[in-house]
Amino acid sequence: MSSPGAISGGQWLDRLLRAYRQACGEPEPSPNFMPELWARIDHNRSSVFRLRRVAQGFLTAAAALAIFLAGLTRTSPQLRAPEVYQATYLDVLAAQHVVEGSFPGSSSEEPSELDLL
Amino acid sequence: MLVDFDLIRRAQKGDEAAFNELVFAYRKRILGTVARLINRPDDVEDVAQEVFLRLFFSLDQLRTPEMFEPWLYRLVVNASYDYLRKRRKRPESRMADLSEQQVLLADADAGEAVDQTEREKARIRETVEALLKNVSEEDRILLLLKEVEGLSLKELEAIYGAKENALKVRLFRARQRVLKSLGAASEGRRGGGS
Repeated sequence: MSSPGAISGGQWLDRLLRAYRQACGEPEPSPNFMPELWARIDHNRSSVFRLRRVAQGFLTAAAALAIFLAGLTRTSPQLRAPEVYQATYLDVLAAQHVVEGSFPGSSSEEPSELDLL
Repeated sequence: MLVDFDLIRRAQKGDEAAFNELVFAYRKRILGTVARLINRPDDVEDVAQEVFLRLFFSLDQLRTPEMFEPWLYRLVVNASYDYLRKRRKRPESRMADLSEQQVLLADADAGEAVDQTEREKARIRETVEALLKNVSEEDRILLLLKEVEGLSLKELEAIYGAKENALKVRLFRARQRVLKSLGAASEGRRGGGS
C-alpha cells in the first residue's frame, strides 16, 4: 500500500479500510456453531415457558381469590356494606334538611352577654 | 439478500427448518462483521450466536421481509455494543488483551516463519485497529459498517433509525478524527526519525 503522503488522506483511508476488509477475511464457523445455537435457543425457550407458567399460575390464583372474596361478601351479612352507605345523595340531603329545619331559631339560642355575666 | 422472502416468512411463522436455513445463509457474513466490530476472535462465535438467538425470539416482530437485513444488522450492532459494554466493565489481564494478530506478530518476531502476505495483512489490521482506537465505540462501529462492511446510508438509516444527514455528519466527524490521528502518527514518526 502506498504511503499517506503520496495521495490525499481521505483516499488513503478508503484504500486502507478496503485492504482491512480483505485482510480480515471471513472467519469459518466452528462445527459446534449450530448445535450450540440450538442449545441456547432451547434453554431460553424453556426459561420463557417456565416464566409464562408461573405468570399463568399467579393469574389463576388472583382470579380464584377475587371470585372467593366476591362470594364471601355476597353470602356473609357481616361483610355487607352498612345501610348508611346505601343511601343516595338525595336521601342524605333530605336528612340534613330535616336536621337543619328542626332548629329554626338556633341563632337566637346563642347565650347573650347577660347570661355570660 | 442471501435468502428469498418466502424463507423469512416461513421462519417468522415458527418453521425451525426455515430458521436453520436462514442461519446457514447468514452465519459467515455475521461472523465476519462481528469479528471486525468486537475485535476479539475468541468471543466472535458467542456474540454471533447471541445475534441469532435474539433473531429467533424477535423475528415475529419483523413487519416486512424486505426489512430483514437491516433488522439483522441492528441485532448485530446491539449485541456488539452489549458485549463491548460488558468487556469494559470487567477488564482482563494484559496477556488476554493481546489480539490474535498481535500474538501472531509476536510469534513472527520470535522467529517463527510467517509468510509475507500474512505479515502484510497483520500489519494492515494492526494499523486500522490502532487508528480506530481514536474514535468512540459507536463511531467506530458506524465507520466499519459503512466503509468496511459496505452498507449504504439508506441501510444505515434503517439500522440506526436515524436521519441520513445526521449519519453523514457522524461519519464525517469520525473520518476527520481518524485522519487527524493518522496525521499525528505520521508526524510523530517523522519527528522520531529526524
